[in-house]
Amino acid sequence: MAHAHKLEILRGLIKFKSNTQKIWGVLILLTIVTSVEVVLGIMKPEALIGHFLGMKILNWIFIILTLVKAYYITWDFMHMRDETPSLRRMVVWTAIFLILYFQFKSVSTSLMVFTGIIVAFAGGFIMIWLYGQDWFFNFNLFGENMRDLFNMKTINLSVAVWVGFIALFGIATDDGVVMATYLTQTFDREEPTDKKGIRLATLEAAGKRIRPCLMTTVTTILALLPILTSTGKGSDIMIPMAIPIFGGMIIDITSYFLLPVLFSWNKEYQLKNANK
Amino acid sequence: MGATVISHEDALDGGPGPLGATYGKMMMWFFILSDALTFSGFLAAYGFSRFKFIETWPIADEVFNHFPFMHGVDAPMYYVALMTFILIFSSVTMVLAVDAGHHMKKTKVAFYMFLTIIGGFIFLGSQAWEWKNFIKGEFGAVETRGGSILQFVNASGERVALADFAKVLPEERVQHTRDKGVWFSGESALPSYSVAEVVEGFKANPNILVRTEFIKDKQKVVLTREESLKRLEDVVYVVEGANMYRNEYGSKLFANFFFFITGFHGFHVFSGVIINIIIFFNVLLGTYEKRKSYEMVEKVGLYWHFVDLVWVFVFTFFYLV
Repeated sequence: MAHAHKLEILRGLIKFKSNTQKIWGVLILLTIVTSVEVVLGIMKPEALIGHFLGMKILNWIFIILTLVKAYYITWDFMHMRDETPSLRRMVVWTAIFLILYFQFKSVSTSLMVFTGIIVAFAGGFIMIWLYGQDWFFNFNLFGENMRDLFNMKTINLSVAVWVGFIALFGIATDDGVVMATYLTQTFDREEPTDKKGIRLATLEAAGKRIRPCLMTTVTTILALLPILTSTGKGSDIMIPMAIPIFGGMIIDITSYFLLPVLFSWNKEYQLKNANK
Repeated sequence: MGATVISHEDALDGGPGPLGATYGKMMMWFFILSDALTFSGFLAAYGFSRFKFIETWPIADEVFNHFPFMHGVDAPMYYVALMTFILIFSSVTMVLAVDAGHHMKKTKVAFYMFLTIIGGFIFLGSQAWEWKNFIKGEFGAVETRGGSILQFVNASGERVALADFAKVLPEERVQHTRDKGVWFSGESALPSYSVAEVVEGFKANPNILVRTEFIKDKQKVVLTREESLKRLEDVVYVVEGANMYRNEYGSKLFANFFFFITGFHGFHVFSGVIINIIIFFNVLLGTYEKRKSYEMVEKVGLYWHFVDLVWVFVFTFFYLV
């Protein structure tokens, strides 16, 4: 049987004569790494307490040393070093991708999409506040007072208002997703490598997707107008529900600018880090 | 029988599979991969909870500072470091068994498997001892109405056990058992001292202070005597050791995660030992000698190393970081 072991560790720095010798060598290596961890853990040197990327330097060292140990356990004890590259990739990449991706990678884009919600949330509240102000919409058009037409009076927070907010979040996220997907696709296609390219790609994507976004918003606002002006049965429930969506959608127009700017900023930041 | 008939017999034995590995080994890798994701999920949950309560999280060095036969000596980390070495060493004997299997040396495989099993049992015993210390606790503490844990220190900042200062009052609290009172509801064991006894003892000892959960400059904040007396007015429970509801070390989640993650890992070690024993007997019976392949040893070896791998991470995130 072919049990050819690769007998080098540390990128060929140390070569072993037999597999058994390699095993003991790896044991010594793991022992040293663990001892270093324990000594650092007990002493907690003052110099390593400082922070780096939001975590203590000491903790970074521990995590890196742990990964080093994990590498040698997998590579030499679990014989990953001797497996075919395809098997190695299949196992290792799956684990790394899934763990890192679920925990870090998708977070930034999701958070950017969610900025639309914050903007819309603010818009909903602004509209509720405006409804309670006497001067707001207080003018006559064709002999009809606009405040009376839209049934404007002080709106108290109620279940109906919160239901309206929930509906608003849905539409706001929808807008963000529409924008973010196209941004991601454009960046995947163009792969800009400089600042100018990033900005051009952002402008292109945002310019293409502003229309669907605006359409969503305008249809929502127009569809809400009959509800806002209604006076019949059930209008006392429907109007508070519609107000947050109405206000949120109007203010959400700004988020069409916010998301591409954040996206571009993130890409430029990544570029800057990559160039370092 | 024509020449076109292809024998699939070796496929049933887990014969040549894709990617240069047998199906059996591949499946073991798949299992390990999914198990790794489970563990990373747990550890991520632990990390998030810890960051959420970063200001009040117990300091690991103060909790895990026991060493066998060295009672009362502050020995942080030495014991878990020892456990790590035991597990790494049993990993080494496992690789040696796999290596001997490649050379078809039956007695050597059996010998190294035996050492691995012994190592596994030592690790399990160590973990049981660690749990015993954790559950039993050392100093005891009290819990306020708001759910925070108050510990006691003397003037120089050393921990003081409840037994050292609590006053024995002429009161008796009857243990509520299932056969008395409310139908079929008992209560867990009563703490050694009542709240009143602890508070009275505290008042009688002027040099004892209350230590809160809050961390400032890497140390838990100690209150002044007046503040201590004030905080003790809110005390509702005496906590000794740890259970799933409350623990004397601080944040409730700390004990929950400790029990859950080290317990889950310990269960993996236990299953690993059982599987190792089964394979060990198979080796002794010559099953693999007849099969002319010791691949089963290699497969359980993979699992055993994985258990070691998980412990390396648990060690880092529970005891070091």
